[in-house]
Amino acid sequence: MDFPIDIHADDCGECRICPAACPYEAIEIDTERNVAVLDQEKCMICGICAPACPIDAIDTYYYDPNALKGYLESKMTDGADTLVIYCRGSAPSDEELVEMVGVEEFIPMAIPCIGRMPLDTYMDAVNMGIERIFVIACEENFCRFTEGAETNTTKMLTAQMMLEDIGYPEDTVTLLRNTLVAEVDRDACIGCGNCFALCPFDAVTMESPGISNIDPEKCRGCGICVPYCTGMAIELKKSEYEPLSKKVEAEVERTEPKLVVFGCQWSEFRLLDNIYEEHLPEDIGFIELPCSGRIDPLHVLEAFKNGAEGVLIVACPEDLCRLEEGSKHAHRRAESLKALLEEAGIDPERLQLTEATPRIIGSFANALEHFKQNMKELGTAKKVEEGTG
Amino acid sequence: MIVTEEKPLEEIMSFLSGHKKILIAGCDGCDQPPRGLREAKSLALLIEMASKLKGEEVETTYTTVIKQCDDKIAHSTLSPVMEGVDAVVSLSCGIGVQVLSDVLEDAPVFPGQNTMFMGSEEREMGTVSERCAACGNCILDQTAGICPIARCSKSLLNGPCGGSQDGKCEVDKELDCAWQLIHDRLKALGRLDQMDEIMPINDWSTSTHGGTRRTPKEMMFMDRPRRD
Amino acid sequence: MKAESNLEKLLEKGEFVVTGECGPPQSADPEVIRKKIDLLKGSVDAANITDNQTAIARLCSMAAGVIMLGEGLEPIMQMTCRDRNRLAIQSDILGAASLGIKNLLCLTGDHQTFGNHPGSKNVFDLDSIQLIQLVKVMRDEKKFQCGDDMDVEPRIFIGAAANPFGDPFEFRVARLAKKIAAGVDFIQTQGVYDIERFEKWMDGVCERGLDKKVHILGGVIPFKSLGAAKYIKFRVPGMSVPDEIIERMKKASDAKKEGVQIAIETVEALKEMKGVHGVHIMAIEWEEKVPEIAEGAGLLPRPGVA
Repeated sequence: MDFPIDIHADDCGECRICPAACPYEAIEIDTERNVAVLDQEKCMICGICAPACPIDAIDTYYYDPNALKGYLESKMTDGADTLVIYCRGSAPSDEELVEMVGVEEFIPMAIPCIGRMPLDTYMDAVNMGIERIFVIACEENFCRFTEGAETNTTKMLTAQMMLEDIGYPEDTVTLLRNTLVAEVDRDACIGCGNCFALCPFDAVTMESPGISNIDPEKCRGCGICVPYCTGMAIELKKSEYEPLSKKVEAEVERTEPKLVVFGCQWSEFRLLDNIYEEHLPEDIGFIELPCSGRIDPLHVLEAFKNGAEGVLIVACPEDLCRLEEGSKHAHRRAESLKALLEEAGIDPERLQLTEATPRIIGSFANALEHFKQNMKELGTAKKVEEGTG
Repeated sequence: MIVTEEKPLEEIMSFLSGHKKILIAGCDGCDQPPRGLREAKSLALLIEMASKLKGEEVETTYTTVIKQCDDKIAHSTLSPVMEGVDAVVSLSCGIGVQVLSDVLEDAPVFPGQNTMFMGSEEREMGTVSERCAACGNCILDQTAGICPIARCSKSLLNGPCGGSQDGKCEVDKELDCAWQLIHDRLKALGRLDQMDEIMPINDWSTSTHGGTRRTPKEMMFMDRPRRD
Repeated sequence: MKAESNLEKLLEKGEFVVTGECGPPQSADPEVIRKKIDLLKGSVDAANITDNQTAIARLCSMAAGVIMLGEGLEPIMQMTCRDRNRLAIQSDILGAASLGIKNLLCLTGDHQTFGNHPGSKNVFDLDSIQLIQLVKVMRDEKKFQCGDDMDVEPRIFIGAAANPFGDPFEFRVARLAKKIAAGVDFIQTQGVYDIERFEKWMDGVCERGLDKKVHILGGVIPFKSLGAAKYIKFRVPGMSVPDEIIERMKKASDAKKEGVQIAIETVEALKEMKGVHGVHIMAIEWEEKVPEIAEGAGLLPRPGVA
């Protein structure tokens, strides 16, 4: 498989469902051959088309139904009978999750887009003995895959109806919504206007006497504004400064050699990627970001201060950035950070930025390998922690 | 706002040599780019890292001041966090550095930045550029709202010199000729005849050339003795 | 008569005048100046002495002017606003006049970043128009800029530069009018290569009757080489060199000769132009070519002043 989505021309029955399902107009019917054809340039790997196909003529590298079933099976051995499926882009914090579903023990399944889940997976789960399924989707107008949340809504209604028809309680499948957006601490805002100028979604307005106001309806949760906020007044839900800072510290502490990766959640679908487990062993600290634009220079500096030997920022290629300008800002920030590190006496090569995308199978795993190799070649760093004595 | 640029870390480290507890003070005032809490924290981290790599044990703290140029605000914000501090780095303009030096008696205050000019932010262009020279005698009424003192490389008052070409200044091809801008704006306003008037020799005594400038502090708009 | 300089007298007589230019050395050696004077003498009616030209520190224009007087050639002392405030400017004018210098060219001055002291502080207390005004007030009203009176005024024939090739073009005539209103007596223009644009400017000048109020001397700078021509075309701000001229220099078998030939043709064209009362030949570090150009354009011998 070269591209993560493949339409089998031999099997395609020209039903014309998948072109209608695709949010990106990436599928067209070739009228001569009477088959559906995928335009790889336009395809965003949301995978919504695959479960839409009535004859399973679309293969996807990610979201393999058997793999998802396998995941479920492995988790159910612990006795949990509640499944929580949620979109990574809108995942609430662990505490919030417990509060939202009302039980402590559950099987979490974080995936890149809820809209992608095949109806069969819900049915399979129920058949396997799952009592309740909670699906946490983004608000429909907030979906980074445009129509994922909407597709999911339809699918949920169908699942609920089908399950009720065959006698399951009506609350077997529950749809919840969560949206992660930036919020301003009005007391800490100094009105510098950075967020106002940099927001790719025009979500910010400035109020007298110079206080930023972020419209939750417009904010897409990229977090580009956060590291530019001089007053440290903007927090992005689930990617707040403090928890990430603690995580950086913990990951540096945990790993050996001390390598930390800050990865954009859209640059890899690692939990759905079979080669991931072989290639991302436990020895790399991983911090997931909502977008590489959220990369905070303070977190990078803290990683080095805590003794990291290398830091990798994984961003999507700029033209594929799901949040308009996040990748561009990540590149810019990496450049200025390298200069700062050098001034402080740290080899700037110890900070690297690489691009990865789920469009290219294995690109994320390769990036990690490459990074590990590079850091190995640089040798042991002069540790900030120890000094030179 | 007042446009500043950070000094190289090496230069800042050279001021701090031998100091053990350093306070980094950001300024939430009119610094551009902003130098608030985040920048103070960043510099604190960098100083600590650089010191440790040199084998020196240095402790840093950081905070930010609503505006360092107000002695009362600066004093009330910083004096409670000065315990044990033996050096302060100000991330303000040159005014902030001096005010902190006045109000913090026990520790030397060092500039973390170079103060450049008073300018505007051009967000689209990604630049900040000089707009006002604080000459103390505003002539923008005669120059279509574009200041030749701040924006003409020679501060000419009677039109462009011979080096103006294609709208650019002879000093730098990237730089707009202020007088071309004035000319174009006056033309658009239908007031080009304004350029024919000879602007008399300027009185620079209101600029830096009249000694340290000071003026009574007004508490209310227009509530102050008028200058002669 | 305002200053009774040779230049003024010849212009008043209606002669087509020729001025040259002489750059003082970056040293204290007066012989360099004497040599240049020797090359110019007999071919020009007066010669400019540059004032820290292109912002490079050189022997001062007043001292060089005095040396020139001693050699029997009339100096036109250049003065820029870059290096002096109004105190220094007025004291230098009084000093120059007391030593017999009668022509002064009032200039804004090249920006210091072009020269060999780019880190220096500039002055620009006045601009060139205000400098003209200041000299005129000193000469005609016997007053300092501050309003104080003086006993003996400096008798100065006031010159200024004009660049018809700078932008905005439509302001260039207006700027000349401002200089005239400020009190200028003669104008030397930037080097002319683009005859067409120069003519267009002169048309504007004559249309407003400005040619009746001031003597305009067209600037001529001979090219020494193709490289020099290209440098002036592409690197010197406020210059216009048509492509044909560059082509001529490119094709010429003897570039130096072609450069002189172009200069001669330019002088001839300027001689025919309404409102142009002379030429200012700037053969920088190539002073020996001035007699050849003057001769070639039929400007020799120079008339004397009775």
